Amino acid sequence: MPIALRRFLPTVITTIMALTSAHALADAWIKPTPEELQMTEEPAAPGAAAIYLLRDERADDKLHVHITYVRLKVLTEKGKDYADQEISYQGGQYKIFGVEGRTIHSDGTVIPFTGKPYQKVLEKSGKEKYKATVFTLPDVQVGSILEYRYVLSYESNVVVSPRWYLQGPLYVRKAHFQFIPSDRVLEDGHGGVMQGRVAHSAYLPTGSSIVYSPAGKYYTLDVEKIPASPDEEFMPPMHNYSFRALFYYTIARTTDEYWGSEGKYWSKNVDKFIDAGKLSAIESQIVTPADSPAQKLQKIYAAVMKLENTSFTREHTGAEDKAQGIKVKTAADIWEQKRGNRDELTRLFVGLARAAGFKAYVGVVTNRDRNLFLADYLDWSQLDDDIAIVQVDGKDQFFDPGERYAEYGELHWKHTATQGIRQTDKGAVIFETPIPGYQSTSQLRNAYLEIQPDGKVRGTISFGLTGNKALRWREFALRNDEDALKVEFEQMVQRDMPPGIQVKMDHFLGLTDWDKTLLGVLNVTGSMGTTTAKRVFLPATFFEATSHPLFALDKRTMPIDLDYPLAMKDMVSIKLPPAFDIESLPKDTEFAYPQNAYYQAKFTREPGVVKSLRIFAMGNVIYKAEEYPALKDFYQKVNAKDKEPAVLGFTQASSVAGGAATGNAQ
Amino acid sequence: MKPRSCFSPLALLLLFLAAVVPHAALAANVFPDWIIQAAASKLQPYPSNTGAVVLLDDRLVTVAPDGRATERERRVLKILRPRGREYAEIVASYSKDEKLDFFHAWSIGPDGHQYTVKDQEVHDEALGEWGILYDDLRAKTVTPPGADPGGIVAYEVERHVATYGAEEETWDFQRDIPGVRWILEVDLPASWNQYAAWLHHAPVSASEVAPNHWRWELNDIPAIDLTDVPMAPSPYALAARMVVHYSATPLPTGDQRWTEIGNWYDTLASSRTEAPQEIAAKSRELGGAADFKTRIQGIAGFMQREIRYVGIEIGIGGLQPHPAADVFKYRYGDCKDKATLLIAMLNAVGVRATWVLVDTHRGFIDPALPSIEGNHAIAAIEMPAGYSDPELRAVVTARTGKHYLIFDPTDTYTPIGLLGFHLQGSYGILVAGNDSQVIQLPILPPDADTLDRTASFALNADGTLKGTVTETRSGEAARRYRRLYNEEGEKQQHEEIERRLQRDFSSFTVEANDAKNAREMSKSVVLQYSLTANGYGQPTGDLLLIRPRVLGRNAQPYNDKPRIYPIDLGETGTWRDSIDVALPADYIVDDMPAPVDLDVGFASYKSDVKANGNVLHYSREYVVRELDLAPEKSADVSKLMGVINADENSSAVLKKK
Repeated sequence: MPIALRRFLPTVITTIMALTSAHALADAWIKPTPEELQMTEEPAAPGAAAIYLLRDERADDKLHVHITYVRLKVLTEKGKDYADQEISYQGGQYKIFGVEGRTIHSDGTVIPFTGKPYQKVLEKSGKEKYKATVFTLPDVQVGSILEYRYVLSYESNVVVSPRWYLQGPLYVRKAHFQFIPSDRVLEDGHGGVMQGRVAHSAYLPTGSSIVYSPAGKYYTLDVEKIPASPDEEFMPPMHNYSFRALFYYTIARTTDEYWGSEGKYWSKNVDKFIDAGKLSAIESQIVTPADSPAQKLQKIYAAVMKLENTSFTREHTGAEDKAQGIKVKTAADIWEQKRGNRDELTRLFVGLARAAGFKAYVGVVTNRDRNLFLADYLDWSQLDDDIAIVQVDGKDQFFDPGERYAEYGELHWKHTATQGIRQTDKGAVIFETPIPGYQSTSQLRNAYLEIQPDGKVRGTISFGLTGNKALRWREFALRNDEDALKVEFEQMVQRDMPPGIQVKMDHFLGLTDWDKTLLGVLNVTGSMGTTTAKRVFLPATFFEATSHPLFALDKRTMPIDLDYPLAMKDMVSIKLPPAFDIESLPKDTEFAYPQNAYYQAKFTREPGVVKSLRIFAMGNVIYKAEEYPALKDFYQKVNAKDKEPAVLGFTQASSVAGGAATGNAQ
Repeated sequence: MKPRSCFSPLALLLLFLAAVVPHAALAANVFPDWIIQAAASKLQPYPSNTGAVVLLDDRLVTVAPDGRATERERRVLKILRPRGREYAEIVASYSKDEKLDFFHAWSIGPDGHQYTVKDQEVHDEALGEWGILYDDLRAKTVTPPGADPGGIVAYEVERHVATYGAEEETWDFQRDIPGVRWILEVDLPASWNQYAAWLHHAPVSASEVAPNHWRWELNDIPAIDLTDVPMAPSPYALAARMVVHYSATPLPTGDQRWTEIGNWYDTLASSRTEAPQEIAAKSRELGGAADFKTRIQGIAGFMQREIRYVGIEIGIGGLQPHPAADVFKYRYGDCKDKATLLIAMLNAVGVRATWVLVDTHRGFIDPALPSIEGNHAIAAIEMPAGYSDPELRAVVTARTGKHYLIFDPTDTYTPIGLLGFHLQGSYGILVAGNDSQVIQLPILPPDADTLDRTASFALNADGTLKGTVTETRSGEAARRYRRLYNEEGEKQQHEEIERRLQRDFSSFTVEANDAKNAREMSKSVVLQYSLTANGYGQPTGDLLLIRPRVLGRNAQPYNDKPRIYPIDLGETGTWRDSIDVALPADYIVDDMPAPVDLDVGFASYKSDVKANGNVLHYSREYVVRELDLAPEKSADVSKLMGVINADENSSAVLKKK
C-alpha cells in the first residue's frame, strides 16, 4: 500500500495515463497445472489453510499504478475465507480499478467473478478519506484456486514507493515483484529536491536479492518457498523478523546521512519548542541556588510529574485551548497551563534541566511493545515516544518524565532495550537505551492467614510493587480512577487464588507517589485446601498454587520477549488451628537458569504455623529460540515446585474433618 | 440477518450514543435550553463504579400519514469519573434508508464553558459488523471538548426510520450506566393505533399530550452492572425495554401480534425461495432418498459444507434474504440467505421448511415483547406427521400441532437434529404465514452433549506419569473439535491439546494426537492422545501425592456475593471421566479423598476414587440439566462449584510398602 508521498515540483509536466483494466498491464490468467489443481496439501506448509501459488506485484511510479495479481490455493475450510477481499487505500488521490477474478475448481472448471466490487468509504474526516474495494469470489470450495487482480492508481503528482512484506499468514510458493521508480525531480519534504533517488531496506531469504536493471531502470525481486509468519506467544514485534523489501525515495546517500539530516530538522523543532530561555524563570521557582545538582534534577522531575499528563487523561481540543485562552507554542506554555502530553512534558523536563545547568537532551525511540528500530529503513515514522537524557556526574542518565509516575531515573519497559535518535552536542545520532537490572521492578507479596477452628480462613495479603509493576497500576488509575483500580486489582488477585479463597480489596497506599512503593492490601476469607480421611493439603506457596507454567508448547521458532526484568518475593504465614499437625512440608529448593533467572522456595514450621518464602528473579528478558527449551524447563520446574502442598494431619479428626477445607464434599 | 433496530453490542452503542441539534439552533448559535435544564438534574448516589449517567434521553417519533417516520433523539450525559470519558464519544448511526436529517453535538466543560461542535470536527465512518463483507451501516462520530469528570455531553439527531412495513419503535431505556430521565413520544396520524409492550419493567401508561401524540416518561433507571458477576446472562437479555407498535390498521396484541410479524416476514422473504432447475436437480441428488432423515441430512450437509458465510446487506437486505438462486449460484450468503436456500432445496424434495428469526443472546427475545428484533435466522423443518427419530432431537411443536425440527445452517459443526447451546432455550418467530407464532427453541437433554473421557496411565516412582487418553465427544462437546480437525493444521491441533493440558500439568509432552469422525457429523468425535507428565507425583517425605482426577476441569469461577441476576449455566450436558493410574510397584495407597455425591436438581456431580490392587481408579460424572437459573439458586451453584473445585484438586496419598 502507499507509504511515501512526494509531490512533484510544479514545473514538472506529468503524463496522464489511461488505464482501463488490470488486464491491460498484467499477464493473462495463468493456466493452472494439473499438480496445482489436484494438490490437497503443501508439503512445505503442512496443515496450511491456503497457500499463495503466486504473488505478483508491480509498482510503476512512472505510470502511477501498482498492479497486484494473486493466485491462491484453498486447502481447508478455513482457507475459503481468502475468497473475501477488502483492499483498503487512501481516498482522494488514489483509486482501485480493474478488479478481475475467477475461481477454478480442482476439476478445472472455471467460475468467473462477474459481480461488481463494492466501494466502501471506511472513514471520512475533513478532507481525509479512507476507502476500500470489497469483493468475494464465487463458488469457492476446498481445492479451489482463487485468482484475482486489481490496479491501484494514483494521481500524476504523486509517487508511491512500494513496501513488500514477503511473509504473511500464508505460505508463498512463488512471488515476483517489480518496481519502476519515477525519474522525476521530487521534493524531499524539507524544501529540497531529489532526482528520483531510490533506496531500500531489505531482509530477504538466503539466495534471493533485489536486482536492478540499468537498461530498463527498474528493480525486480523473485522469491519462492516463503514460509508463513510464525505466530507464537511472547514474540518480539514481528515486523522486524519477517522477510521484507521496503523502498523509498531519498536524497541521502548513506544511513548516517539520512538520520543526521532528518535528525537535524527534528532536533531544531525540539529546541524551538523547549525555548530554554523562557524556562529560566520557571526553573528558579522549582529549585534553590543551595540545592545540589542531584537535588535540582529531582525537584525538576517531581515538578513535571505533578502536571496533568494528557496522554493518560485526555488530549484537549483546539476549541478548549482557545476557550481557555491557551496557546501552546513552547514548553513554558505547558508549564503555565499545567498540562501537556507525554512528549511535551519530556521536552519541558529537558528544558528545565538545561535551565538548571545540566546538559540535557531529548531522544525519540521506537516503542518495543510495537516495533523495533531499523536503522537501514530510512523512515522517521518508526519512531514513537520522546525520552530525556541528562548528564549527571558526567554520565548519561535516562528519564521518562512523559510516562506519568515513572520512577526517577527509570524508563517504561517499552522504552528500554530499544533504539532511536537522540540529540547530542554534535547533532542527532542513533542511540540505544539500556535494559535495567532485575531490581528495578519488584513485587513483594505477604500473606498472613489463619485457619479458624471452624475451617474458615481469615487474613490479609499485601502487594508491594515498584518499577513497571507499579507503573502499570498507577497508569490504570490515571486512565480510570481508584475505584476502578480496586475492582481490576481485586479481580487480578482473585484469579490466582487457591480455590475457595475470596479476596476483597481494602486499600492502596502510594498510588500517586511515584517515588514510593505502591502498596495494595486485601482481606482474605473463605476456605482452602483439600482433605482426605487422614490429612489436609494446603497450598504451601499460596500465591502461585494455581498458576500454570508460562510455556506449554513444545516447539519454538521465534525469539522470546518477556518485556522487563523483575524480582518477586512471597512471604506466607498460615496459622493452623489446634486440630492440625504438620505432617510434611515441601523440600526447600533453590535453582537457577544460569545468567538469566533464579528461584528459591523455603518452608518452615513453627508451632501451629506454616511459613513459606518464595523468591523469583528474571534478569534477562530476550531469549533466542534455541534457548527456549532451557527457559521452558526453568518455568516448568518453578511451576511444579509452586504446586507442592503442605500436608497436615488431624490431631482430632472427628472434630474438624468436615470443615477445614474447601468444599469438603459431603 | 440484520434487523432494522440492531441490538448487537455495536448497534446498542450506536443507539445509545446517537446525537444532533436543529439547524435553526445552530444557525442562531444558541446553546439549547434542554441541555442546561438537564445539566441541573439532581443525581442519585450511584455506585462507585458508575462512570457516567444519562441525564436526559428524549426521543420523538413522528409518523406521517403516508407511514413515513422520523426519529428525533436528544441526549444529555454527564461524566462522573475518568472511566466515563468513553461515553463521551458520540456515534450517530445511519444507512442508505435511514438517512440523517441533521447531527450536531454540544458539551459543557467541568469549568462551565459551553462548546458547540463544528461540522468539520465530525467524522464519518463505515461501521462494519462481524461476518459482514459489505453493508451500508455508517455513523457520524465525534468526541466533544470538555469530556472530563463533571463535564456534560449532549447531542440531538434526527434520522429517517425505515420500517419496511414492520412499524415499531424500541425504547431501550436501560443500559450499562444509570439514567435520570427517559422520555419517548410517538406522534401518530389521526386514527392510527398504537400499543406498547414492556419487558423487565412494569408497564407505564402513556399520556396523550396532543391528539394521538403519546408520551411515556421514566425516571431513575438503574444500570445493568455485571461487574464481577460470574455466569451472567447477556446484558441484552437483562435490560428493560419497551416496544411500541403503531399502525394505520387495528393492532392485535400478544400472540396475534407475533403472528402478524411472522406473516409480514413471510411476505417479505417467501418469494426468495423460488428455485430454478439447478437447485431442484441438486436437491434431488442430495436429498432424493425415501427416508425423511436421510433426505434432510444430505441437504443440511450441503448447506454446512458448501455454502460460505458471507454477509452483503444493503437497505432492506438487512432483513430480506437474497434469492436462493443467487446463493446457490455463488455458494455464499449470510444466515438468512442460507436458511432461504435450505428452504428452497428442501421444498424441491417435498419437505416443507421455513424461517425462525432468533437472537444469539438467550433471553433477549421474550414472548411478552412482540417485535421483529433479532440478530439471526435459522430454519424450522416440518416433520412428517407421526415421524420421530432418536437423532432428531431439536424438535418443537407449534400450536398447529405440527412438529418442526430446528436447524441452524450457519452452524457448520452441529449436526442436523441438534442445536447449538447458544440458541437452546431462546425464543424466536416461527414464520408460517397466518400460523406464525413465537416459539421456544428446545433445551436439549443432558445426553445430547456428552464427553466420555477414559484414560490409562502408569505412574513411576519418580513421579512421571505416562499414558493414553481417549475422549468420545458428541453434540456441543464435539463441535469445537470438529472445527479444529476440519479447519486447522496439525500444528494448531497439537498446540490446542498442549494448551488444554497446560492447565493440569507443570511439565509434559504430548506424543501423538488423533481425531476420528471429525467430518462425519452423525458420529461422535473420538479424540486420542498420549502424554508424559514429569513430576506429576509429588514426593513429600516418604509419601507420594497424586491428583486422582489427573486431567480435565468442570469447575467454573463463582463467588458468594449477593446475586440479583439470573445464572446462565451455558449448556446442558453429561461429562464423564474414568481414569486408571497404575501405581509404582513399591507403593500402596495410604489415603484417598472421600467420594462425592451432590445433586442440586439443575445439576449433579459425583466422583469416586478406588484402589484396585495397584491401580487407582477415579471416576466422575457431571450432569447439567438446566440452562438458566433464578438468582435464588446462587447458593446451590456456589456449593456445586466448591464441591467440584475441591474434588478436582484433591490428592491421594501413596506410601512405600
